[in-house]
Amino acid sequence: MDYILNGFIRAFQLIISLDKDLYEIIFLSIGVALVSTTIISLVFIPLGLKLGLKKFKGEVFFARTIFSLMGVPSVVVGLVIALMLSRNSVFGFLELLYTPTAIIIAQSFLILPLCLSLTYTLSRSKARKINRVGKILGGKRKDRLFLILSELKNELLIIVITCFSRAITEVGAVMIVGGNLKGSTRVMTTSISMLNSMGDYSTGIALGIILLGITFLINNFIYVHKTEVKD
Amino acid sequence: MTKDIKITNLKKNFNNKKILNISELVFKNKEISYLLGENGAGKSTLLNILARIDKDYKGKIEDSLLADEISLVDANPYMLKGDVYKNIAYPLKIRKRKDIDKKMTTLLNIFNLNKLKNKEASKLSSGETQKVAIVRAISFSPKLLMLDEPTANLDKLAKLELIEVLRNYNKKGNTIIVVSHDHNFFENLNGEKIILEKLK
Repeated sequence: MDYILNGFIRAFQLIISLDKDLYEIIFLSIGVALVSTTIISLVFIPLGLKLGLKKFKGEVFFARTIFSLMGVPSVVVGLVIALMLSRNSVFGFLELLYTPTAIIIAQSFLILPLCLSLTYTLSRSKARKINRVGKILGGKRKDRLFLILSELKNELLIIVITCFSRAITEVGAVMIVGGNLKGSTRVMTTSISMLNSMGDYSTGIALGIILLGITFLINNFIYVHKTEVKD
Repeated sequence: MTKDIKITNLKKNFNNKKILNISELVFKNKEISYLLGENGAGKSTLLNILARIDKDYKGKIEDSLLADEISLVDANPYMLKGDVYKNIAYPLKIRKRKDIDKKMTTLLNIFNLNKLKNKEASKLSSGETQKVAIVRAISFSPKLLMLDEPTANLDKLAKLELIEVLRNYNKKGNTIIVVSHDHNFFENLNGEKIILEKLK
């Protein structure tokens, strides 16, 4: 059990000593997760809202499909992307495999169904009602868009943070497409996995505590906003 | 100048089921009309079509109204986040009216809503919600006001108050269409009864 205690001590030592390697890993982890979340949110939140507002043929099939896609194993996503980016493959000429961009691509594909399905469901359940009120009261398209965004801002923020949380905690796909290269594609999750294999439990626990701290802060933020939404 | 609302050969289907089939129907201008009919007769659907929310129909509707001059109060109105004041002022805000505060003071006084003006709209009782929704719907003085089951959540006193509000609004030269199952309500409010038959 000593290594758990040592892990805590080492975690604080690393954090306080502003360990360069550690902070590089933390910033890269946050950076790639932020970029993938931003890209997906900017594209798929408006799309999810728009699709949810419209009645179209195959609505049920669409909803089922995007919900099913949430369950695709992340290693499968990682494997497919790695195959697509590998040197002799379709996108090999881009030379993206084992780069932070590859991690961003993998995380983006992982959070895409999550973002789209949550936004679509929200749009169907709430945005339709808000859009209707906007129309009834004489709101033009632009007024209704602002009304929907203002009415659902907390819910949309929760979706963005949920996606970020999913992206930053991903390990399988990130390991496959990133390769866990020191100083280049090593993020917190892949580092923990590697340190565990090496038997360096203390540093692993240290990183685990930091990752746990970040996800705890995120989930705490979501909880506070969820409570506000319910109120 | 506004004229009667004339509906000719209106047909509406939903999921291969006939919802509406009206060969001719007229809602007189500046009058109160009641739409009666069984559940599923298409009363609310007709209100949606007249309010230009539902445009998926066949037939002709002739009126001289702009979309901006029509208002509808749903049976279960949705309240926007924020207080009562924000909800009632919203239609005025999107019309960029310069006299919002003045207009709001008048509305809140007339409808005795000063006590509720700072209350969170989501925390209102169902009767209060209905009242606020009606005031919100008439805040921008629409020429056609439609109400779907407006008395569903109202007690006797509130119903009498609503009758008075609608009478006064009609006296100002506005057309009102009400869907209601409440016989006492429309007996107390003189107007034309229009029965919508349920399609088989």
